[in-house]
Amino acid sequence: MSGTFAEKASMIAASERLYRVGLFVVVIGFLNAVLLYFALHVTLKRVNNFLGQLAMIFGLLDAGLAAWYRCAVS
Amino acid sequence: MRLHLYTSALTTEAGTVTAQALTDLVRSIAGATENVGGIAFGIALLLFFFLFFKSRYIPRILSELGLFASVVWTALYFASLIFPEKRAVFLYMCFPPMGLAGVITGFWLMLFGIKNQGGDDPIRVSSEVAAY
Repeated sequence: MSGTFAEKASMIAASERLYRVGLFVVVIGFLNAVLLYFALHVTLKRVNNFLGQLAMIFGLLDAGLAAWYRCAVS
Repeated sequence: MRLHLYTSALTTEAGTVTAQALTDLVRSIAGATENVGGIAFGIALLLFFFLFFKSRYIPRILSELGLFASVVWTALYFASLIFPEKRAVFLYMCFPPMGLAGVITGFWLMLFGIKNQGGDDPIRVSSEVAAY
């Protein structure tokens, strides 16, 4: 979204439903990412539990930061 | 519940801070956050593809592609921290292999699942043999 803060605020206020749908999509994406990383950890922990857990932690970190980033730039 | 948007200037101890300045600050923080998140994503996928490579749950070529894409992704996200002016070029280089590896692996796991040799887990069996 481009423009000054006031322009962006007026655009959001003009299409509030769309803005809320965007927030909903961000939350769904975050939950899906958490589920994906947990499923990969469960699948691969038999190979190496420590590396599987480490990968899940990095993945969850990414999911959280990505959700925050998408909320911040919208 | 209505959406409330505050567009007026905010007063702090240091003086008046405009909403525009706060927005710009949040945006610049978000830019750095996106870089850190990208590095975390690259390391996570690097470890996951390494474990897939070791376990042979998916074809080796697929896990090798994933490993390559993860290494390129992580390296270029680190590079974009150092050379932010070339960020667009780096993203253009690291997205295609990661997109390819991610989509193909996702479809492979969805359609064929993991390859479990003869119903026995090769890692567990080998560790049991070693313990025996």
